[in-house]
Amino acid sequence: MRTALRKLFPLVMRHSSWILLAVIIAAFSLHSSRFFEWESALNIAKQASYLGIVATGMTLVLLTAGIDLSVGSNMYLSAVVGGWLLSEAGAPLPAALAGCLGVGLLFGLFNAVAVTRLGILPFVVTLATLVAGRGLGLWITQSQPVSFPDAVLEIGSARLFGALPLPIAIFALVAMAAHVFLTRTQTGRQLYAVGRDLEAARRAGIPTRRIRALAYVACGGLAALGGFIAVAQYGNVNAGFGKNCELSAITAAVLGGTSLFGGTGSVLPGTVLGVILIQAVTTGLVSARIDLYLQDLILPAIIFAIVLLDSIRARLRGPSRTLRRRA
Amino acid sequence: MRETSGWRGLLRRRASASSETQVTIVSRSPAQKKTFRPARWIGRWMLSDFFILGLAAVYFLVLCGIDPRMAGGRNIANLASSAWPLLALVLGQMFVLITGGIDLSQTSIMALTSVLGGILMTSSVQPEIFAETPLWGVLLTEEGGILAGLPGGAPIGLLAMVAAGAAVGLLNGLAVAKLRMPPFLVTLLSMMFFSGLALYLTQSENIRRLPDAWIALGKGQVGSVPLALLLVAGLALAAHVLLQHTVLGRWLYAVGKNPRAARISGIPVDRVVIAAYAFSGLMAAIASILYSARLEGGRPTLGEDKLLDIIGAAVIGGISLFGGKGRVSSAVCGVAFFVLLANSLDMMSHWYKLPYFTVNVVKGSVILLAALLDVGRTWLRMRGGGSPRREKRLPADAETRPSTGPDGLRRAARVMAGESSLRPPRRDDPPAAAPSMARDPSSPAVLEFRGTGKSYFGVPVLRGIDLSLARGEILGLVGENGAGKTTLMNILGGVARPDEGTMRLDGEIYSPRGPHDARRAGVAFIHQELNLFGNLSIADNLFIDGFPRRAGLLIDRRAARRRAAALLGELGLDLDPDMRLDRLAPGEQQLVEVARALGQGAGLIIFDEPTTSLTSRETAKLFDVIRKLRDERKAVIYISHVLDDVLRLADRVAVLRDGALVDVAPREQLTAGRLISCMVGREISDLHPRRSTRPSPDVVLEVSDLGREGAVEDIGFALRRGEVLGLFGLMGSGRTELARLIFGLDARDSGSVRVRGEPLGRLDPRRAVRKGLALVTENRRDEGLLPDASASDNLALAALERFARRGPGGFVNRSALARAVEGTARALQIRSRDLRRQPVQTLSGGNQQKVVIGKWLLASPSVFLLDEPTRGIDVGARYEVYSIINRLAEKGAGVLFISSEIEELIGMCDRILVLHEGRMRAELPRDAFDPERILAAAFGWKEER
Repeated sequence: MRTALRKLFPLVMRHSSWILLAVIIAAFSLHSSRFFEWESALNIAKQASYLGIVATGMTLVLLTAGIDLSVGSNMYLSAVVGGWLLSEAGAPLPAALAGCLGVGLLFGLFNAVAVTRLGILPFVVTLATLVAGRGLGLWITQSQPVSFPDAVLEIGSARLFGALPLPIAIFALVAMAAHVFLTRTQTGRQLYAVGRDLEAARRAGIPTRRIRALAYVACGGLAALGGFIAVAQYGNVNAGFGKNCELSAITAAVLGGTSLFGGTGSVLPGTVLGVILIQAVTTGLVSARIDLYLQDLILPAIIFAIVLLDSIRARLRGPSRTLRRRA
Repeated sequence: MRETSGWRGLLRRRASASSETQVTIVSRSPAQKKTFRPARWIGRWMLSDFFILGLAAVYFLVLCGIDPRMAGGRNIANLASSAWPLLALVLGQMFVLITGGIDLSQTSIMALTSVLGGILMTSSVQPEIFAETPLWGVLLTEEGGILAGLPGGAPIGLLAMVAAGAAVGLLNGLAVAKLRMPPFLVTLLSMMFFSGLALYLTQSENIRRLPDAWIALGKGQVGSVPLALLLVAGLALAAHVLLQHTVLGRWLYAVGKNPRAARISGIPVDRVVIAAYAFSGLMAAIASILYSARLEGGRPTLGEDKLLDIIGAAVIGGISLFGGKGRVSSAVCGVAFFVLLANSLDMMSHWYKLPYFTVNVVKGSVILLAALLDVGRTWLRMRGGGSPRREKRLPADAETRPSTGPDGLRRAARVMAGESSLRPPRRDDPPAAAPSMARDPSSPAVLEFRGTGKSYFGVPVLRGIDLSLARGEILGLVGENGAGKTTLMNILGGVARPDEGTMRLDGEIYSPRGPHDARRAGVAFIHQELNLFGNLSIADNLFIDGFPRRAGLLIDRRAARRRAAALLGELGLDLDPDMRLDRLAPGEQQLVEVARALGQGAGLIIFDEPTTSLTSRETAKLFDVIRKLRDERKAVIYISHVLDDVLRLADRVAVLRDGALVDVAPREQLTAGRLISCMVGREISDLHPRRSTRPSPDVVLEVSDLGREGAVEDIGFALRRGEVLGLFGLMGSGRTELARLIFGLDARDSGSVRVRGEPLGRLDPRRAVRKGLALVTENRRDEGLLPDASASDNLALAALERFARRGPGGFVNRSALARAVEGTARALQIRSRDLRRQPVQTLSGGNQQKVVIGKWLLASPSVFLLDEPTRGIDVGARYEVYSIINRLAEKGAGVLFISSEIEELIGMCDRILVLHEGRMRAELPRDAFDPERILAAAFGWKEER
């Protein structure tokens, strides 16, 4: 019995996030039978998709042992520019989308240059651009809400082949692309190397600066894309749009097993799982009609529990390594 | 760690280019010292905390010039009242930052305590709004808060707020220290949770009608001085005294600089970290009291946007986010600047109708500028201190070079006397072989150095190197630490660039601009610390900068696996290419690195100290591989301190001393003795000094039945006063684990440890230190030293409490401590330009080791556990370390001397214990010392009798 437990325990620990997801779904399904339906699953995925796209970009940055606190402001600024292009400049939708993504990429490039060329800490750089970026956006809008034409909303509610909501399809595409990039391309593998040991990576001849810059630029672009998807679902952008999104993106990535110290983590299943987990809890709490204020308390508590499990897991792994060295 | 940024790199190049001026500084005379140098003066001012304050003053004066309203009484009052709470916040944050953490939850602590204070103390609320809140009827009724009517209710309520803030901080600290969760995440989650809680408790409503006593704290005045100023100034003063004059303060810095070394030095790291977070929470509560008083209400959204102000002010003040740095004056200056900036922007947007949003844009830019300034200041400080702060591996040779110390003078004198000219004019030396001599006339020189030279910080580390290497040849390269070996190889590997001379590779001029170029030219550099990535698979590591690809984009995993298997097979490694690298033994990892070099088609392979972490079996295997490389007509350069290995392996050996080539000769003409005398420039007749005393019969350390699963089992021995007890074992035999078990770094499964007859009880390093144990671990940098602190600070580390009255909170007797530290430094002959300022990481390996041992001397322990105390230090310094060990024994300490070098144990010890696979296999008294018997026991062979 004891040995069976001993074997089971690490197994449980290793798949704690999956098990938790199952437990959460089971719990909410017991509470309300509607939770366990295809439509509500799609709904969760759809609502998770914009955050998922942002969190995918965040994962790239976290893998290089960096951090990007500015994604929320980036979402706001790029959406505002996209909205301005559509309504004021009368640009067609594709051009507006391109402009929106361009702003996001430029935003990311600014972070990248400050981090890799000027040698300033990512935390400080992106904290500064978090403030400045939103200030810039508010300047443009004079803190008035920006509304978007129906064409944009149609994107949010469109379904691919009549079944799959477009936001989910885009999220899936982004996640797949990031996964292939990370696991199947040289640059992707180098990203992990840079995050593990920057100095060693430099000596191994890896273009560390370009790799780190790439992560920030990609994160900027994905933040803009995620922002656009969010706009397509909600239809307008107010002054608080994207606020605290960086926190959700970071927690989603961490829930999916990405380390804040760099070099460890994945988009598939990692970050995608993390995002779905967060959204499932949120949706579940709403459908269970839990007090709105209490919801804000339950989510951090659950995340804390998962991260705690993760750190216990890391410590369990500790001693076995010395054993292996001896063998 | 950061990579060298563009303009910092540029500046460094400029620094080495202007070497002439630097030399004059190095050899300055007293008269020159006093000359006024504006550049240096400005540099020094830029380094001080008050630089920011100066900038703030200038900025303020300019603004007043533009608009006199800035200096108006109302604006000044406004300025001041926003400064005090922020200063409280930044002071708290600074404590956490010093420990290397971060506290994002300060803002939510402010909201929570504000709400809590409001609920407890408000004199009346509207029931229609608050009847729904969870605390209605418990702490809050129609008559107001529970403390509202009570006499002395306000002070109790305020104390409750402070206690609540400290409690939240305590929780953060517990999660960080005890549960080992990342500070960023812990405080992020607690920020989300407690701001949620604040909103929940009030259902987003503000609470009004606070007691007068509370409001007076924010708005009241004593005479004409605001009460808030007095309060915060008092706190700042207390924080300053705490940081600079108490044991706890010193511990905070030590924990931030190197938590592992701090723990081994007997510092209660967990408690120090918890205290820092609790203090941060407490200060947040105080800030909350002041802010709420100004706003006359308990607000659940208080401090929502304050995080930027806190971090911004800290960064501008120069408090490092890496930990270990920050003073109260930095916080004061940072807050002054930031408040002034925010205020002036507010005023201007108000007076000139500028859009308010510009304020945030400017704030963000200023923070970036401040960070940039800090990068520049760090660079300046590096120049002053001798070494970059965060660039871990400056070429090892350069570290020892800034030669104004007695060592440097001695060397300089030797150079002047012509002693270390290119060829030593020593009569007893056999004629040195011509440097360009090739072993086989049919194979031309593949590599040729001609007049290669290099200086760091204006001090030459390499001079006029002429050396060549042929295909199918192994060249051994030896020299003391600081002789220039690593620099020469860094030049070859493209890591550093020479200042003079040329290199030719296969007859072509070769000047690599980076490791990339070197690799392309077929030069592979296998560093002492491996360039491998534990988080990736073997195949990923082999091809990290050149995967086989399909269609030029996607990695062809099958081809990668196949080629990896082939490369591993060539080296006799039977491993799955998909295995994660960190599962391999150190020896296997080394061979993976060799496989990578081969896979890149390297024709010239440099090995820098490859055997330091290998077992003898792995070493033998590596040597077979190196010989095989030679037979395949590759050129090999082999650098090592293990002279026997060099003589066994190399075809020719080159000796460097003080940056010059002093000897090159074929192996047949060399002996270890000659190599040593060449390297040192003097004969070392006896490698091991004699001891004048014999062990006494009293036992100081008794270990019985000690065991830990997977490390050691059933270990028992006794160590006597004045005894040097050797502990020999191969890598992985459990020798290091045993030392860590005795010291209480790892938990034991069985057994007991007694120091001077007293059982050690619960295992914990702090306890071990108090009972008189001292541990010198095998890696100085990670576990022994605070690398960027001075020798003085390092030496004081383990003994701080002895120089303080009444425990950790007590004041350190600084003058007594300084005297003791200087005495120790003198006794150990620690060579540093400036004991109080030069970072220890810029000292040579031998001097660093002396600092680690000296740190313990001040705590006067009765048992020393020395784990590989001579690892990586050169011949001369070794002798000094041996002498120190003898002196410890002579003074009555017991020494457990762990080593993987049989010779030094035989030379130094009274008895030798041998470990094999975690068990004690032999105990040999001095008259039974025999290298073969020791090695046989270490390999687990049964003795034949």
